[in-house]
Amino acid sequence: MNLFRSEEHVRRWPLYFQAADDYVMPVSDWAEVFGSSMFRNRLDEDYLAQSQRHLDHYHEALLGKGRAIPSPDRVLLTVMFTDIVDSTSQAALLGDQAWRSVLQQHNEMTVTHIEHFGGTAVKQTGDGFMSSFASPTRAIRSGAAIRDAAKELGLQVRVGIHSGECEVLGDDLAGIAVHIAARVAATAGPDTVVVTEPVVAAVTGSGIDFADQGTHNLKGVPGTWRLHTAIL
Amino acid sequence: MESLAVRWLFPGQEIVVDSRCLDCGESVSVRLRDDELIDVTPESAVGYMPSPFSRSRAGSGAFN
Repeated sequence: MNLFRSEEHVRRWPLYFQAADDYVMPVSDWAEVFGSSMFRNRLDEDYLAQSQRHLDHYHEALLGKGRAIPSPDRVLLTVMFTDIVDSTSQAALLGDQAWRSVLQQHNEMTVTHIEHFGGTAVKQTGDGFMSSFASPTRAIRSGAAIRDAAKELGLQVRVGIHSGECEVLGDDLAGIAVHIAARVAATAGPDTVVVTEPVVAAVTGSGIDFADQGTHNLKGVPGTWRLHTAIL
Repeated sequence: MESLAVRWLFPGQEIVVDSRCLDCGESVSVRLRDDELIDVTPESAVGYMPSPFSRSRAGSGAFN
């Protein structure tokens, strides 16, 4: 938060960006908002466990000042899901200890290839990862690199990629675009990188070729989706 | 942590936030102790929080 001598000073500040959910309030009101448990209880041992309650308290404080709850931030991103094919039987075949070792190598390798291509490993999802990229081309190349490196570990992975607006919730992502990417990954066969039509359109000129996989119904996602396998 | 929330790190103590108006560079001062707002100089001072908040934290986490 930035302090100004008056509201008039905010309005004439060159970087002031007026939007429906921007907040300009007297310091006394902000002092009350920053008195909510979200800030007051920051040092509590169970702060994270109570984070939703604290967030609710913060929103109540804002509403009490006649302000709207901040809307989730939406940004255009490319979301990639990777997943190990047939991990359960692989684990059974190798035994717990050996599987743990392979899994650890897989995880380190995956994060390395995500970050190498400028992506962010958002979170681990079972035996795979959800990651985000600013560039769909980089996401595809990252997915292909993970696929190739997984083969060297004796693993097969499936990769699904979709570009769309996501809600940014701290370091996590949410929204229909995330669900679409996850569903696309679920349709992918072993050692394939499957993408949606918006991804194909966005990477025109990148030199990446695609094989049309026809239209699909993605569970829980409205409409039908034309999917493509990246050839590289 | 936001400057107006720093007081929670120092319970029972008076906290003084000395800042500068981003428009004119003149002083803005806030004194607090726990729940009590002791003084704001000038009285007309306001706080401005851009929202969505990512506009002030570009490059973090999932944005890369």
